[in-house]
Amino acid sequence: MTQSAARPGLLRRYIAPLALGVVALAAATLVLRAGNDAPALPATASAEAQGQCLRPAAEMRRIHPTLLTQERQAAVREGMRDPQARIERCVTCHAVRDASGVAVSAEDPRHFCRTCHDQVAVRTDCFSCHRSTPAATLASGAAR
Amino acid sequence: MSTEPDKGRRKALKLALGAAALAADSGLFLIAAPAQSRPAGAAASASQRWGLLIDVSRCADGCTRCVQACSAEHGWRIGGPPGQDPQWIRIVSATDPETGRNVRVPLMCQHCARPPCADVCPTTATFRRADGVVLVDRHRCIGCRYCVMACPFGVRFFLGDNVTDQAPHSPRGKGTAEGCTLCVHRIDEGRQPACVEACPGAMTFGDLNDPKSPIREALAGQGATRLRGNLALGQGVQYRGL
Repeated sequence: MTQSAARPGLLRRYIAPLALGVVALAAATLVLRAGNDAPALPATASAEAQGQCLRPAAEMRRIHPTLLTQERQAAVREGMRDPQARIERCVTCHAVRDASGVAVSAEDPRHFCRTCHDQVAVRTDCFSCHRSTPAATLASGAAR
Repeated sequence: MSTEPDKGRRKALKLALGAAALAADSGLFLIAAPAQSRPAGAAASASQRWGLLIDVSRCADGCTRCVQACSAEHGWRIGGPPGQDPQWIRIVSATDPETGRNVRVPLMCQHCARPPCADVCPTTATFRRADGVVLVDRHRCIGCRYCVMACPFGVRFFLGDNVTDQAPHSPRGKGTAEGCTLCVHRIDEGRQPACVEACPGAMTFGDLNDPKSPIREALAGQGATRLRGNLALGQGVQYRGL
C-alpha cells in the first residue's frame, strides 16, 4: 500500500458518511419544521356566550399562565381585584357540560383546561384550591 | 388590558361622590357607611386599618350565629374529625376562678400588627396586607404548619383533606394553612364580614384609622383590651367586657 492509496480510503471511510449525515439531518429538520407550522390542537369546547374573553384566543393560549400569575398576585397580596380577571369567570365561561348538562370538574379529562394540559403533560395546580366548575348556587356573600 | 376597569372606576367614583353629597344633605352619615371601600381596582393601603371590636358582655348564651355564618360563607365544616376540624371562628367559654364569672369569647384570627405566623413563614405565604389583614397566600404555602404552631391564639389550621365545591370567593385546598380572612372579599367591596353581619349586636367592624368610624367612636368611649397584651402584637381584634 502506498500513501496515495490511503487518502481516498480516509475520505470514503469518514468524511463522506459525515457529510451525508449532515445533509440528512438538515433535510429531516426541514421536514419536521414544515410539519410544526400547523400543530394539531386538541379540540376544546367553545366558551358559553357570557361576554368577551380577556384576550383573543390565540393570545390566551400563549399568555394565560402569565395573566393568571399577575392577577393572583394583585388580588391576593395587593387586594386589587379585577372582576373581569377572576378564575371563577374562566371556569364559568369555559364550562364543559356532560350529557346530563352538568359541568364537569377538572377531575374529568373533558374539562376545558385538561384537554390541552393533558396533551402537553403539564399538570395544573389551580383546582386543588379553586373550584373548577361554575358555582351552582352562590352563597349569600358571593353576590357580585 | 382594556380600558374597561378605568371606566368602571370613574363610574364608581362618580357614584360615590353622588352618594356622599346625598348623605351629607340628608344627615344620613349618622347611620350609614360602616365600612368604606377603596375605589375599585385600587390596592389595599396603610391608610386603612381594619379592626373588630367584640363586646363579650353582649354575646348571648347559646348563640352561634357568627360561627354558622363563617362556616356558610367560607365552606368549612363545623365539627370535622380531629385534626381536620378547622375553626376559623369558635366560641371559647372562659371562667374567672376567683369570681366564677363566665364569659363567651368569639375567637378568630386576631389580625396582629406584628403577626408571629408571618414571622415564621418560610415562604412569605402568610403575610400582612397593607390594610392590616393577615392572610395566607396559598399559591406560596408549602404546608409546613409553622404558622399553626406560632399562633398564640390557636386560630391557624392546616387543611389535610381534599376539598371540592369551594366557594368561588374563598378558595381552600389540601396541604395549605388557613384561618379567618376577615372576609377580605367582602371588605374589598365595602361590606361587613359575615360574622359581623350575622351578629345581633356584639360585634363592631370598621377602620381603626378613621376617627369617625363606629369602631373608633366605640373605642374612644369605653376602650377595649387585646388578648395576651403582654405579647404586644397590636391585634386588630379587640374585646370589651372580659
